[in-house]
Amino acid sequence: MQGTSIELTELSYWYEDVEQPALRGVSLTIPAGQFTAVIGPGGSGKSTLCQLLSGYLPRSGGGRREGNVRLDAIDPAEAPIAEITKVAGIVFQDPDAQLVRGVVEDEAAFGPENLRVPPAEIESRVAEALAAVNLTARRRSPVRELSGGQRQRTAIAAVLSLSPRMIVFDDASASLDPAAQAQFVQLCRRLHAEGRTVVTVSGRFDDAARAAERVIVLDGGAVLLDGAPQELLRTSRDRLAQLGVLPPWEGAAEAGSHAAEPAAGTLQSAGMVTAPTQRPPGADCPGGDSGSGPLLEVQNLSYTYPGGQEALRDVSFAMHPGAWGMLTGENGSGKTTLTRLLMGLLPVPSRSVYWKGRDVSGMPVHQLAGDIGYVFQQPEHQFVEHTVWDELVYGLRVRSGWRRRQADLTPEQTEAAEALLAAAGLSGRRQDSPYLLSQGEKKLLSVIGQLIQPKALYILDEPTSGIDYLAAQRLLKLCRGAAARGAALLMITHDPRLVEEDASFVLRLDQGKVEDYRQLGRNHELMQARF
Amino acid sequence: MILSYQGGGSPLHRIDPLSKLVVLLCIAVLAMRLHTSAGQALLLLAATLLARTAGGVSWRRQWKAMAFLIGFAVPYFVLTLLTVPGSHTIWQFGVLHVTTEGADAAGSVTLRMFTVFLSSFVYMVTTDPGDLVTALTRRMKIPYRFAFGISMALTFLPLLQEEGRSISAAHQVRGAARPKGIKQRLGWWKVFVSAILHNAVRRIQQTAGAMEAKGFGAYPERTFLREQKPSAAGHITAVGAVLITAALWWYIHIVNL
Repeated sequence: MQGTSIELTELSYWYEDVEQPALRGVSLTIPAGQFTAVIGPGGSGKSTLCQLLSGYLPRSGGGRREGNVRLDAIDPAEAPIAEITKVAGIVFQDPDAQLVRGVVEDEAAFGPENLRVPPAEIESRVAEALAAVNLTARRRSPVRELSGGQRQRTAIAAVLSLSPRMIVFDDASASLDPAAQAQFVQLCRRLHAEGRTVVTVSGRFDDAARAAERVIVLDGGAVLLDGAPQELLRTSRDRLAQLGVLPPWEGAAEAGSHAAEPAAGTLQSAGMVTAPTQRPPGADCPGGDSGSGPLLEVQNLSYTYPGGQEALRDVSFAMHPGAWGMLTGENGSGKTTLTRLLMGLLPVPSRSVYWKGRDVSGMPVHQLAGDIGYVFQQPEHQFVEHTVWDELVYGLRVRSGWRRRQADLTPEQTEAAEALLAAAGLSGRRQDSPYLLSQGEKKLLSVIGQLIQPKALYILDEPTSGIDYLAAQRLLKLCRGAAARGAALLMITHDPRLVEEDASFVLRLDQGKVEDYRQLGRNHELMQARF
Repeated sequence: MILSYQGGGSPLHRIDPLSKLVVLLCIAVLAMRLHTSAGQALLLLAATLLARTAGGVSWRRQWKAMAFLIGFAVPYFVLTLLTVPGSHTIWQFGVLHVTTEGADAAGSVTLRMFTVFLSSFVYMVTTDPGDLVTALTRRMKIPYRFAFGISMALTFLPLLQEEGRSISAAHQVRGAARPKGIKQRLGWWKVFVSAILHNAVRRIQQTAGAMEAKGFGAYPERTFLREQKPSAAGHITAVGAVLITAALWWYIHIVNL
């Protein structure tokens, strides 16, 4: 394949009612058939670039574009839909925003059907696309029964079946488990070998970026670095680390260290934290101190969805005050189902889950929420207010009723909220809509929205997925603050290396069953040092 | 989810969408034709038995679906009961009076609502929206954009339901208890309904954008991966339903049911 696939000339873009451009004079050329990775920290303009390539901006999403965009010589803002679809397929980060038919097979067939591909060929494309993302076995499954990672793989299959000349993956592997991420990189290599132009977009210098021929680093809406991945790693490692696109263990040891932690004194004076009480010396139980009663005890928990799909079988574990659990497992292994059960968001079978010795079956969610903070996998699912500030303090307003007025916040509460906002790096965004934040900022907001209230346990569903390492470090620092104040944490993660230093135990699920449940040594010493 | 398609192997699941649509229309015609409470009660009974035996819809699920209607049906029943004129008074309090004719009319219109709703509900839960789109486009030659519009409308109620559940969960995990008192309840519903509508509109915009990104609307026609062919059982059911409806129409006229 020859010629130019993507050509950007002095490309700038402004969102409606926003003064600062999201992209500033970007000029670059990507030859046809090249495997390119575009990386950059949150807010660097990556997703804006993808939406400009797809034509969504400014055609449907509004705003103002200056400069030129050419995909195989067509302008996506003006070209007919059929032409754009044949040239470029784009997979975005949020699968729920891309799936339209409700069944895995129908999703994969939808694009080719629109392009009038004969049914026999659609059949072969669907089979190939589902095999490429390892979803053949779920071909007739309703999308709503899939895990987040499986839905993302469905979204990838839906674009693969279009068989476009160019495929752009906008952080499409963020919610995939490590095995699926490795498979994703293989898929990119295979598409590249077929002669297609492949562009991966990510907040991290990930495996896809390392496998690419070229890496373009964006920062502040402009191209900062551009070169072969090994060359960039050799010549600009420190700079990449400072940006937060490299993990701390690859040269960014101090990354995120300047992320301010909320002053414990401020939070305590506001009455938002429980004073450290009994600290877990750690003993026989992986979930913490076996000497005191557990906060949370799960006994032979099994769960089957109303459609008959078994999600969990005989899961047992316990958590004590101060424990930090790492919940891992492949996409669809039951991690989110387990945490939703713990929070009461799914009907809990009786005599399976005990909170401070009390069976939680039938206990209302708002009652459990007095002790347990829950952070959703998709931050958007948690947002209930229209501004960042209102979203942050919502939990404080409902503490003594379903909703209270802003004037009800005490000066101490306001001060503590300000401290958390600063710690999350969101002080300048307080009046913005939560939906307009970058992915990393959304995650941070969803976490501080829970941390602002003192809880005995915080459950976080993949809090670090899809965000750069600086944002991840900032988020973990906030979690460490909560742990230092005596809270227990249970964190679903596909980033075990980021969390393992802090975690006291790991619980790994495989097809709904406990595959591994053991104590992690590092936390033992950490706790001793802390307390 | 109560109002969305649920896969299954019941006889109604196996019949093609258009044959089933004929049965649905026959039930609607009979519901309009019958004008006594007894006749409507018999039709509702027949619809529930059909839902249970031919559609595999459990009694509990049928009840949960029909419970949706109670909020509308009860006031409508009372209003009809008190306003339809009649000559046989069975209860009177001041200017309010209930007649045998009014009670029969109120029972009839209320039961009709339940029958039409239940039969439509059974159609929705036993019909794959994809099969309906294909049938409307391929066999009835309806433009596919319009057929998809119908399909999306069928999924709109489940979408609202899902959004409602998601928003409710978001409030509850932040500690929001059920509101107490009229003032709190009104405030809660204002926030809840506006959030549902806001999120539903956002989801619809996302879906429209995603459909366009996959070439929806690029050409005047499109192909389909699979097509549910009308079976002999479907034809027989549709023709049988029409014949039974015609016979009952005549019978209702004779016995004045």
